[in-house]
Amino acid sequence: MSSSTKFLTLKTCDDKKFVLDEAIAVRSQTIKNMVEDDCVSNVIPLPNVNSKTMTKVIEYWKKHSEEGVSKDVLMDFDKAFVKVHHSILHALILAANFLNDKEILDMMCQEVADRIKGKTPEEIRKEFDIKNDFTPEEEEEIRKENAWAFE
Amino acid sequence: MSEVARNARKSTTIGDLPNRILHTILEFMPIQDAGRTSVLSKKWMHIWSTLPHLVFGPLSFKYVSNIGASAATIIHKILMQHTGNNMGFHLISSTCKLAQSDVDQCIIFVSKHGIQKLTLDMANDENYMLPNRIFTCATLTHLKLSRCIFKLPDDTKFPNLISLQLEHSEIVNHQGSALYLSKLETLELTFCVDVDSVNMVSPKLVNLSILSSYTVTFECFNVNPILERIKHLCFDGSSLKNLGSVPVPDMLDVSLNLQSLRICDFKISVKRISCALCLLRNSPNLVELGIDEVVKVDETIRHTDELLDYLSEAVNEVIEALRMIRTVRLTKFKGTTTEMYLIKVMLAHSPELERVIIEKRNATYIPHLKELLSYHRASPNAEIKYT
Repeated sequence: MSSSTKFLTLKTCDDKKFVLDEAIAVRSQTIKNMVEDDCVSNVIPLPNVNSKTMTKVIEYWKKHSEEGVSKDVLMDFDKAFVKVHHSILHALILAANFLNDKEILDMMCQEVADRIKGKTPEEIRKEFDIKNDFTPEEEEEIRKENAWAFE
Repeated sequence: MSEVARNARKSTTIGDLPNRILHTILEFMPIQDAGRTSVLSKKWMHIWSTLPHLVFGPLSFKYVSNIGASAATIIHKILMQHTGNNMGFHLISSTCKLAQSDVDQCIIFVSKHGIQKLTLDMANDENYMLPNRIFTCATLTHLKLSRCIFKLPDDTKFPNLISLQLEHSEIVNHQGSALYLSKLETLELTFCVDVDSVNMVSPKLVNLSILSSYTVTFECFNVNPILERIKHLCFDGSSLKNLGSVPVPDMLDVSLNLQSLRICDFKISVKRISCALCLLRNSPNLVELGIDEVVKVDETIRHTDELLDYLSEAVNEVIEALRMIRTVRLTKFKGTTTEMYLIKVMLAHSPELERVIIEKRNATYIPHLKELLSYHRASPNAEIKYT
C-alpha cells in the first residue's frame, strides 16, 4: 500500500499550501470527484476555505483516518472539536459544504442546533450575534402566532 | 475572487449561512425549538416558514402534552403558516394518538404542497385508513406507515414512489386490482400479514426487507418474478425460518439476482441455517453477507451438537454457498461460541473473501477475539477488522 501512496496539494484562499495523502483528502466528495475525473493537476485550489479552517478540517480527517482508534476516543475528539466560537463553527460549516463532507457538515449543524435548543430568543441572539430587525409590534405578533413554542 | 469567496470572508454569523444549511440546522432540533427561532429576525422567520421537512416526533408530542395543548391544533397551525413546498412530513409517537380526521387534514394539505416523504407512525389503537388522494400524489417518493390500512382503489398507482415501508399495516385488496409501483426500489415489511395477496407490479424493486412477516416462502421465489430480481435482501430470523415452512428445497427453480443478504436477529437453528444456505446457493452473484446479532435459542449440548453435526455434514452445501462471498459483516457481536464457530466456518470455506468486519455489541472486552486470527482461511488475504 505505502508504495502507491499519492499526495495532493491543496491551496487555500490565503495562498497556503497543504500536502495531504490522497486517501485522506478524498473524504471530501468535491476533491474525490476531481480526482476521479482526472481534473487534478498539481495544486487543487480551495477558493472558499482559509488556512485556519483547513487546518481544523485536516485535523479531523487525520484523526478519523487513523487505524485502531476506538469509538470512545473518536467521540471525545469530536466533542472537543465542536467546542469552538460560533464564528469558527460558521467557517467550518461553509468549508464542509464546499468540500462536500457530509460527516463534518452534519456534526457542525448538530452543534449549532444543540446550542439553540432550550434557549430563549434573547439568549440565542446573544450566542450567535443575531441582529433583531423586527419592530416590537412585529415581534409581538410573531410570538403570538407561535405562542405554543414559547410555553 | 468569486462572490462566494467574498461572502465567506465578510460574514461570520450563523444567520448568514445558505438557506439550505439553516434548514438542516432547524431539522436537527425538535420542532418547538425550531418554531422559537421564527422570532429571532426576518431571515430566521423566513427559514422557519419554508422549512422543507416538518417532523413532529416523540419529544414534540411530549412537549405539547406537557403544556396541555392539542397536538392536532398545533400541527394545523404550523401547516397554515407554512409557505413554499413541504417536502417531508413526519408524525411519529409511540404514545400519542391523532384522530383520523386530523391526519386526513394534514395529508390533504401536504399532498397539495409537493410532499415527497411522508411518515405516519402513531400509537392509534385502530388502524388509520389512508385517504384515497394520497395514491395519486405525483410528488410522493417515500412513504412509511405504521398501523395503517390501505384500501386499494382500482389499479392503484403511486407514480413516483421509490421507497415503501409498512409496519403492522394491512393492504385491503379488491379482487383483481393491482398496485402499480413503477419506480419502487425499496420495500420493507415489518409485522405485516397477507401482503402477498396483493398483485404488486414493481419492475424496479431491488431492496427487500422482511421482518417478522411470515408470508414469503421459498415457493414465492419460484413463482414471483419480483423476488427473482431483488439485489439486496434482509430477513430476520423468524421470517427466514418461515421461508422453509414448505420443505427447504435443494435448489430453487430460478437463479436469484441477490448481491447481498442480511440476516438480523439471527436465532441460530438447523432450520434457519439450512434456509440461509439455500438462499446463498441459489444466488450466484452474492458477494456480501451481513449478520446483525446472533441469538442462540437453545444452549443445551444436544442442540449445539446437532448444529455442528449439520454444518460438518453439509460441508459441500456450505462450500457452494460461500463460493462468491467477498465481505462478511457481523454486528452486535458478543463473542459467543456459536458466533466464533460461524466465523471459523466462513473463513475456512470462502475462497474469495476480502474482509470480515466485526462490530462489537458494546464496549465489552472480548478476550478470545484474537483467536480469530489463528483460524484457517481459504482466502489467505482476507482481512479481519473489528471495532
